[in-house]
Amino acid sequence: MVRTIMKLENLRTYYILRKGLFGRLVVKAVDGVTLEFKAGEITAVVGESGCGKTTLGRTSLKLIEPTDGKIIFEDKDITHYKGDMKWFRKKAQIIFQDPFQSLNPYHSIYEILSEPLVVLGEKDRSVIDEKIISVLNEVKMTPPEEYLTKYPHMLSGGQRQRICIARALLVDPIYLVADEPVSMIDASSRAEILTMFRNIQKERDLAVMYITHDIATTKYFSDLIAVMYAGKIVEYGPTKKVLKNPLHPYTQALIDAVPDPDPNNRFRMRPVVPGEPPNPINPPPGCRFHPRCPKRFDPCDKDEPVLMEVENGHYVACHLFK
Amino acid sequence: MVKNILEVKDLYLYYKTYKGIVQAVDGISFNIPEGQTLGIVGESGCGKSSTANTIIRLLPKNTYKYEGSIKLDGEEITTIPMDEFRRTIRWRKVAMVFQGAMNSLNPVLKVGFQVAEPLIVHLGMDKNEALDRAKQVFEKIGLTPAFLDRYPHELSGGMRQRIVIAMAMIMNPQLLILDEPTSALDVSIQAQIMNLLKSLKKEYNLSMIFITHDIALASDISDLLAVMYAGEIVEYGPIEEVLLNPQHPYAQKLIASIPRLREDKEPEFLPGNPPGLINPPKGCRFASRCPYRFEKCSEAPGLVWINGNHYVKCHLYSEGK
Repeated sequence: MVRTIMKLENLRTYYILRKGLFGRLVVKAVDGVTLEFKAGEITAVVGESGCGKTTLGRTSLKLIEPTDGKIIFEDKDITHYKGDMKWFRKKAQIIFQDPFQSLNPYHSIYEILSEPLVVLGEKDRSVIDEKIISVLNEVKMTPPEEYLTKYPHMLSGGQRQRICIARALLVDPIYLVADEPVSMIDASSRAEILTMFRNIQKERDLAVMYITHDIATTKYFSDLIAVMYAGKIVEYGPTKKVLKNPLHPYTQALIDAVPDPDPNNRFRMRPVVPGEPPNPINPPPGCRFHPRCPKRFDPCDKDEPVLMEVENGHYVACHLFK
Repeated sequence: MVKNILEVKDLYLYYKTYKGIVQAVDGISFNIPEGQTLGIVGESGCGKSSTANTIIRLLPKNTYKYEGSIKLDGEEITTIPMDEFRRTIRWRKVAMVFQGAMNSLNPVLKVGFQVAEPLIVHLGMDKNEALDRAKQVFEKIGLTPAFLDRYPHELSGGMRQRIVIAMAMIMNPQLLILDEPTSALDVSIQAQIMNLLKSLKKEYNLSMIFITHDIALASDISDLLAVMYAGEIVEYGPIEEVLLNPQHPYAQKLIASIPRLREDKEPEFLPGNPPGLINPPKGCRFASRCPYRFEKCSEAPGLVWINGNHYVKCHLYSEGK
């Protein structure tokens, strides 16, 4: 039986914006998400900017307080946990999107990597050094000694992201949020970083939330996929199944929008969904995708569809499948 | 026979920095037949944007070497004095959509005026007449006339990108350069913009240079493909040949690294980093990462024409010639 590490139950994260003296606007960034993360599995959370995927990742780490719902980590409800978080930080880590901004430019690689260990209570220098060397080897920064005295500006984007991955791995977490880990990196090194990350993840049996807007990479680097639109999961299932047989019209549109390299592309128009994602302050009633949906019919602008299992393990929130 | 709208030959652009001379564009050559699109692909820092800046002659102050020949519609434009270039070529004949331009619209001016401004400045057109022309262009790019009176902050990213394209199109240029026009947009909006570009290409028989790091995206519009590496074009030719049957080892690796959604093919990867453009290696610049390197690679390779309009810069193909 595979161990469930992280469980999100009907999670909601709202941001309150003030407008005027008494006005209040509520941004429903995450609006009722239920997901499970198991050891050894990568779950890709895919969606366009503003759909709430980053908020979801950060809320799961309690970097943002949830408004409603439950966060259950290793069978412990931590939704409203207020005490010392260090035990949780040792087990749950994050890799940020931008390796250019998430490394302190005044710190050497050694300082950057030793900090989390020191903060989380490691005092023995030799243990720290040993751990840093081994984790640098793990992310293929070899020979590690060569990099310890370097500063972030001396490294390429890909190398910096390896440092960010190393930093997250140092404390031996069991749950990891990877927020667009390769979107700032050159296309040619993306596959390399992701392959390396995939190998490390398998070896360490990590539960990973892989947040991305690039549905093409999920095919190789995830086991499960959750497609998010305007704060909600619209489709969820094993990656291979979802990509081969996308059920939700939005998932289909996302897949159609990605070109494969083909010289004949230029002779045909790409199928597109009209319009743009809705404003999360005031999402449309009923199904949030209905104003853009090519297959909308009667109930779509009234009833909100719920996520339902259509096939074994393949869930979709769409009135077409009832 | 279609005439070439652009012929670039042995083009150089070096910058002088305190660290040394940066060889950003190092002797590149290519042609674009009228009505066709050249995709320029490569990793960041390989000189793609510098190539575009050289063509539209936006040279930084620290330019050290600017040499070579650029013929636009048969006319040599590198020797035209700056003043005249600004008046007759830039924006009138060659326009450009800059990377991230959608974020540099003037926030205090209505977008209609911003699109019409070149007409007023360059052609001395009356403001109302210019706005009228802007309205026509707006229709072409899928925006209703109501948008003329909006301010940039009222528009979404995709709409702002349309505005920037309208700005470039307002003078009816012969050549449109697009530098990563969709990299900041979501995939569904990106597809809309690509469709717009395709319809403009068809309707105006527009010639374009499409710069991107995303080869799959380049294949969405390009007729020709140029693969750049460390300041050089290492392979250039019709997209059918370069994309489906790449010859240069770098082009092969780059194309194999694209994740494919619809085919069962693992993306390969290319270890190592490209060389710095200050004092790049003397011989082939790709040699240190190349799986096929041999002794000859310590010398700089020349262009080897494979057939017709397809060349590769690699010693593997120069033997026996």
